[in-house]
Amino acid sequence: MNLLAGVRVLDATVAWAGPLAGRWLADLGADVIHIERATGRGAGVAPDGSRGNEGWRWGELPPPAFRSGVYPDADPGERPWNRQGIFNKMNRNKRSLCVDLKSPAGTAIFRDLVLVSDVVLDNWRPRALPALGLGYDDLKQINPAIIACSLSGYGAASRYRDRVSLGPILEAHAGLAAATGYAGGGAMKLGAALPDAIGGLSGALAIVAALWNRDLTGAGCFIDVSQLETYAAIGGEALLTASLTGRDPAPIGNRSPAYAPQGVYPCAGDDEWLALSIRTDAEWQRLVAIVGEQTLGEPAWRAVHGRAAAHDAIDAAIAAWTRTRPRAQAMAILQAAGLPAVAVLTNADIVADPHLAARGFMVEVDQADVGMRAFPGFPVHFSAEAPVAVRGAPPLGGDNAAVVGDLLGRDEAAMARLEQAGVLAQQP
Amino acid sequence: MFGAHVLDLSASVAGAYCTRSLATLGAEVIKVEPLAGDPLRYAPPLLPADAGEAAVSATFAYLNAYKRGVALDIANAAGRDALARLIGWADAVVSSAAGKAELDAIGDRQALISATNPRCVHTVVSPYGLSGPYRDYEASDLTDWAVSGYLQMTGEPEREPLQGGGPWCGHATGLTAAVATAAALRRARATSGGQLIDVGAMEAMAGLHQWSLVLYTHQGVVKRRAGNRHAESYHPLGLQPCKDGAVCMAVSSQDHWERLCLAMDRPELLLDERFATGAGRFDHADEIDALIRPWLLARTRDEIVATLQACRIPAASVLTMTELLAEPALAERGFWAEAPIAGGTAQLPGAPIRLDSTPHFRPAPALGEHSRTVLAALGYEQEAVERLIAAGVVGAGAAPSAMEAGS
Repeated sequence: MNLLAGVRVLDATVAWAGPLAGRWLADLGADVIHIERATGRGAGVAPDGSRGNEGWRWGELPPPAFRSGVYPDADPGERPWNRQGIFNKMNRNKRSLCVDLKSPAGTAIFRDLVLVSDVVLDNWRPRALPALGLGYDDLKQINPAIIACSLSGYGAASRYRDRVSLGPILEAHAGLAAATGYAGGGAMKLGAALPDAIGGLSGALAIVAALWNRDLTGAGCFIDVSQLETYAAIGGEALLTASLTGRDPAPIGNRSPAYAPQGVYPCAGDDEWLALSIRTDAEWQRLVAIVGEQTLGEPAWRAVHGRAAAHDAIDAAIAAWTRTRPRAQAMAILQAAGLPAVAVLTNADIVADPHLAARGFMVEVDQADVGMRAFPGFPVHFSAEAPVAVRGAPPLGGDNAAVVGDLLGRDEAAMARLEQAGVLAQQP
Repeated sequence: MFGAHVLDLSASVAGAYCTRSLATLGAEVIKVEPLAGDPLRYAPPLLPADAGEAAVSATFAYLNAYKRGVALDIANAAGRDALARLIGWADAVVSSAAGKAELDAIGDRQALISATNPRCVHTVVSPYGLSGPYRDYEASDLTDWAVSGYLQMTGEPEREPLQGGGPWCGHATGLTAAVATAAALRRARATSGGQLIDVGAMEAMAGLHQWSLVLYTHQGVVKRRAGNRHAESYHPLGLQPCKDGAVCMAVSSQDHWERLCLAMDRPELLLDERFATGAGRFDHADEIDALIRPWLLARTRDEIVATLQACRIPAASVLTMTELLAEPALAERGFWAEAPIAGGTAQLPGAPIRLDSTPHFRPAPALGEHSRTVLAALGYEQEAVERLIAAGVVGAGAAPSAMEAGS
């Protein structure tokens, strides 16, 4: 994968959205240097750097038990900061520089790296880098062509710039939680938050576009990305509608605003489900042929308005058919008739799914302090690029020597002084 | 993306959001529709229009802003020739395909692109991708949520799994395709080599989970629904009712919990062993709710958010769409565009990422609105264009206005 070969990114990110943006750039071939604090590696390291964090009850908990971190076999091990699965998923294919940016020697290293980099990406609070003398105005003095992307919850230039946020917060603020829910019920959050994912992709897109522009103009820029905005934008058609009608969309459960029936129906087994959409009258006829005239033969249901009016009764009839069948069997029968019907997959199902396996989605990764584990790989396939080779996430500070020594040319004595002073570290 | 030429041949939310994303960054996007129009022109929500006019799809109007539109019958030989000229103009083509027939046709289109313009990038968005056992399966917005794992995890534990409140798998897949397309465009400019980019929604969405998949590969845990709670650990982390609606709060660390107890003036809770860890708070979520709800229900959303944010606990009001439209922070940042749509003045998101190359807002094209100007720019004589229109190969809406002729 060489799409971004030759691009160097300083990735000063934490948690999810920022690391995901940097990971996309890394997967696409950029040299991404993840800049970390010794004590700030996600949920795996307590604020004081000790291992006495609340997540350490692992062994005592009955499975299934994910609590504050995801460790191989629920074992934090000797160096938990290198074993945290969430971190390792988000930071693969990067290098790790563990540096204390609050020390003058640390900021000097950062400034020297800016000179040999193309992009500075951060998702800290918007005031954090400027407070260290590393804001865009400072960086462009060092390297006028630098592209700086601030990927914050609310935007660097915002009345809410000092607010703290997490995915579910932005989902609520963006109006999309209120649009989700069972019919007649209240707002519902997604089981896996999307705002960080959308924000991370948006950060990657902004940076690639800025690189495109810089190729033409030679000019760097500051990009102020607000995750609230990138997430609200995926609700654009509903916002547009609300602006004209003055009304908010009411949650409609699993139904469709366009066709009927659509639903999630119980299958044989515990908590196993089939998702089914009937988009046209012709699809309805094919469903009736499978499920049976006896329960679905009502003439009024041949037209979509009749089906929408009798949706509850139709749902009951479909559920009576699905309830006795394993979801994979129901899916196969209905898809063979050209109907959009799928098994509702769990996280375990996705890991084992034969289609995703054929696409090479899950990849086995060997990494320090972890060993072999499967991770989701890169989801896009390019015909003229070699597949993304997944190199496991770097150990904390694992590239200190390569970055500060080889790249910046500090000699061994200088490196030793930096380590001695705690400016560079490889463990909390 | 100054000067990038993108030809949008897609007919899906994913394809349209991919090209919208590129257009908002400065790419010049021409959308090609069949003479009957993109199916998204008929997709809900439908906006009531003036008497005698067809309802307007908010989906189409939103997703195709910033683009120009050409209507073309590509089954016709002359139409196919025009398509080839458009491909010759393009740096990237974005297609969508779903179901066996459309997926089979992608091979022909790729052959046409390779023969016509070998440096052109071709991005294809589809539900399951261009290969694999599910390739030809049918899909819908609901099934996208289902096969990517989101559906099973969303909703109440004792009820059926729940989809998200919109076709957002399409948007997320489109955004994924936009990143890939932009990177390949930049590479193609350097190497003069195009390529085919295969983006499947199932894979794109499964790739966006934060930890669900590693939770299984590391600890063997199958995720279950937890309603408006954060599954597996921590509480309160999710939606909570309050005096005038609901808030979302994220007490996701020991610090947060301690600050919440102090903010509520309940320091004694800090001594309660049940709540001493994130795991314990999740296990005793009902007890915590009973303790914090009186405090929440006595306060408004704004009061709660101000109090929690002041002690650095992530919190926001649960807003409706109409409330978000009135959110001053977004207006101040220039997030919104205004446009005449369906007889009213609509407020809609403009460019979610704003660069120097971000263009002024342009409303979604009427069917064939730019057919004449685009074909003229490709070198067609005016008479030839009119002949194609008269022959029903090109759709061109109304006759050209002085303004359009000059644009």
